Amino acid sequence: MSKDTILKVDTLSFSYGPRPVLHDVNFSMLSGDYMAIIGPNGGGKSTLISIILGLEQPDSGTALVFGLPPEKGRINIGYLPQYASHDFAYPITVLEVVMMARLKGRLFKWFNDDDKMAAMAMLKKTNADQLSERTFRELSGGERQRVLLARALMDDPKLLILDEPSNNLDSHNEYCLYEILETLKGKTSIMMVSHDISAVSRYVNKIACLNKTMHYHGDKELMPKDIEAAYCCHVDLIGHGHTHRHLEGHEHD
Amino acid sequence: MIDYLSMPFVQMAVVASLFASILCGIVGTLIVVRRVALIAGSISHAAFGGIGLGFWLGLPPFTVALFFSGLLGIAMGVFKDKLLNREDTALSALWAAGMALGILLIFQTEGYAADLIGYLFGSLLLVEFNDVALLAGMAGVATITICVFYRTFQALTFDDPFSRISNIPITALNIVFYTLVSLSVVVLIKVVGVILVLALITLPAASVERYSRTLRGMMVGASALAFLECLAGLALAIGINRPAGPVIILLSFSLYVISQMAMSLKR
Repeated sequence: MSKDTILKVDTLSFSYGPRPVLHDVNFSMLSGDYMAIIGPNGGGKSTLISIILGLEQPDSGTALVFGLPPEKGRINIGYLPQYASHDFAYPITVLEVVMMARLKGRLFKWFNDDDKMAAMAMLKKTNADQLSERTFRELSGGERQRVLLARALMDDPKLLILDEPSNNLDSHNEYCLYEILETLKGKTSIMMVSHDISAVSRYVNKIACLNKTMHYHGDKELMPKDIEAAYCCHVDLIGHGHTHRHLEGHEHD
Repeated sequence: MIDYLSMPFVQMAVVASLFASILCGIVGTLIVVRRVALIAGSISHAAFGGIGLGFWLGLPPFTVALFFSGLLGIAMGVFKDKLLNREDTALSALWAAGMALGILLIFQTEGYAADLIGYLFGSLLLVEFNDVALLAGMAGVATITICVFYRTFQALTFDDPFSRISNIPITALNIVFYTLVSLSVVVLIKVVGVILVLALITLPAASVERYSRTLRGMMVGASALAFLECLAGLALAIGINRPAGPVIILLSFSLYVISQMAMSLKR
């Protein structure tokens, strides 16, 4: 596989009013990468995703998605949000949620059999095909996540972004999620954001640590002993029982 | 009631209720699932400014209000994204300013102050053929609009960030959305008036939401419920010789409360 740069974030800064959230963030992703961005809550992870998706504008610096500004390049991205952001009264079936992915760039569209079959195929891939006629609101957290993952994977996105995918999942469902992601390796590049490193370390090939700025960014080959080091770059991960130690320098591409 | 049904003004009120209910079912569902009741309320009260303007200029008040609210709807669609925060404050200000403008302009115009009450509280039993034709036309427009934009409205109201990431043309869709909401609200003012229109639109939809599987089901259910509420409210209002608008609203409020209680008992 050719190693094209699919995402380049360059001297990116962002603040909400006077409060800086991201400061001078630099990193890039190559085609085929499976990258984890870890960091504490409030460290700017979700903001970084919002900027990459073109939902927020940076104060300075740039994010280029497949060489394009986020508003254009994001068409190649599949996105799995934290499910907590959804409205739990909304009347909609699982199949309708997944087919929504076929609306890309459209002002209006009716779904046809092809849309339905593609959505069913994706639901099968994420082990959720038996849920297709259920309403979204009656699903459990793990089931919702499988449905939203199916939606994110429709039409084979080149990059899949997952925001805190292990939240609200029990360990079995979490394992299933990572197994599904494993099958995408090679076809789809993956960026996963999490405040919890324990789950991601087995699978990823790149790991970065974000707390306002990118403190560490490198290949997993520098791990696993360095993973512990990656934790401690001003990131306060309480309750994991790791010995914390500061990294001397910051590595960038 | 059977006797009453032979009276032309009651027949007219029933037909008006039918089209009003279709409109409420479609537009009310959109307003409820998108949680923009405050916007609909602001538009209806701002429309009162349009009515006052019509009186003052000596033009048909309703036509002016339609035009006024149509423009407001387009403006909402265009600027919705730019009102970053304090949106509720801006909308509440619009709500009150529209009313104030309407009242002042109507008082400014000799001899029309008496019409104030009619516009504030509506008069279902006094609707004329022209009003019914307007309601029917608007119900038709809403039906066609929802048929065309059903899926993108669904995406927009279910998952706004996802719609943006999918590059669905949000601003264009918002303009369609808010123009539809604005025009519908104004047309419905004729039935229950400026003050009660918001309840007529949102309560039936809110009552059936948790019992519906799809947006389409919610629209059909809300339309049916609204029609039943209008019929029962009309019968009751005629029976006790009271204005129909408030009776209908209290009836739909009661059913809303019952539906919510039944749902929480079920859980």
